[in-house]
Amino acid sequence: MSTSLSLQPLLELLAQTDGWTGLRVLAAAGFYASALVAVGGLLFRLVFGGNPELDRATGLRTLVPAAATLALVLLLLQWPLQAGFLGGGSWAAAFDPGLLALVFEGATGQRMLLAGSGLLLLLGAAIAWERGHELGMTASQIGAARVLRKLPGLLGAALVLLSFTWVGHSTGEPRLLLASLLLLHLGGLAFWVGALLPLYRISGPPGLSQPAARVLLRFGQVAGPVVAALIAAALWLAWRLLEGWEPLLHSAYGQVLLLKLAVLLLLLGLAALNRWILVPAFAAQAQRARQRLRTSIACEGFLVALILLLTAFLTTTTSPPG
Amino acid sequence: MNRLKTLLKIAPAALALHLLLATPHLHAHAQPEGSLPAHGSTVTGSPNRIAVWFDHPMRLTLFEVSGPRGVVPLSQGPGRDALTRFEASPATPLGPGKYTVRWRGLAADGHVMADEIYFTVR
Repeated sequence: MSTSLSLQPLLELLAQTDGWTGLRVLAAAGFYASALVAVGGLLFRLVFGGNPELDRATGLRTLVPAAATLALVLLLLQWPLQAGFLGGGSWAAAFDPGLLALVFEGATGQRMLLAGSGLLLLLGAAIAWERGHELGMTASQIGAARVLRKLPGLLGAALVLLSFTWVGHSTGEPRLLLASLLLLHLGGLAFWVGALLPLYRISGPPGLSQPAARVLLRFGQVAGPVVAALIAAALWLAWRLLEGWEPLLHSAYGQVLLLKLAVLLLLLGLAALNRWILVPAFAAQAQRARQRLRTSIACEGFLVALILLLTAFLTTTTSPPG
Repeated sequence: MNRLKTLLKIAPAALALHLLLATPHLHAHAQPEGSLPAHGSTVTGSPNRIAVWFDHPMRLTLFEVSGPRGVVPLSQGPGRDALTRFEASPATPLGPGKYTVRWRGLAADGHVMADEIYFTVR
């Protein structure tokens, strides 16, 4: 096995990346981010919701529907962008009925339907959640209503995550295992990504320090195993798709994946800093702990955006060499 | 009530599992396997055929050859049907110079594929 690193594959890939491809990468990255924020926001609310003051401070009441709407728009935008690219990179090709039909009738169309249905369910559930009332209900009726109210949102989140497994390499053999691992990876990622903004917001107001500290400490406890599972799933998927570790050095796909792993390591470092140093300091109301924690969460958000951009570049411009 | 709650909680997971298991067929991911002339090669005289082939069916949507005099007219364009090999002949012989073959297509798994192949005519 040769271990020398040549950047030739990556440079060739960058040379072939035109403006149209850049647009596709941005639309894909925006879709990943908004869909994960919508799904993750819902999960955050289910796991950590319940305190009315904190719920208000998270901003999830508007964030989840806004993210779901943006994801829907970007999902639809990817359709003509893909048709335009297939036709050579022009707006005429983007609205060519034959190319649009070609894209829609395949796996991409099925993925669009799944993701679109899921996002609409998420959107509807987020709105209905606010409108629901429990006046005049018995205790058991209230319990049933609360479970029923969560169901469409959960189903929507499941459909959105499932749609990611509908296109690309997770459709290969063994499909059930590959798709399950990708679902595990995406579910964990959504939980992490969707929590960043609510955690940033609840750690701001001094009046909410105590309940916010409880949520931050609990998030750290839950996120540990979730992040470990999402990384284990990602490593196995990478090994399976690359058919070994050598293509990490010698293929464009592997080299972009290495960049993504490097950013992920930085992100894990920040997450560990938060978990073991900054959040305990915040809970103890140490001096400047609030500002340091919020800066660190904002940096996490920036690194997550970079990872999603690299992932979109990876999935849009290249494929595993195996 | 507890049974109903449990049922409602596992319903999305059960639906997802069903959808995964119920997928009618597996989508194969196509990779380019080779081209004529080969990538990076130098040929003496104009090639009669310019071709690209894949390990799984691909729906080619673009197959364009360009050289010192711009885009080269070809005997046929891709028909967007799923195929494992596509070839076309230059309408007029290629003069000396560097040429680029640019193709784009859609694999059965929904992956958009694209590549560029370079060759030189001496």
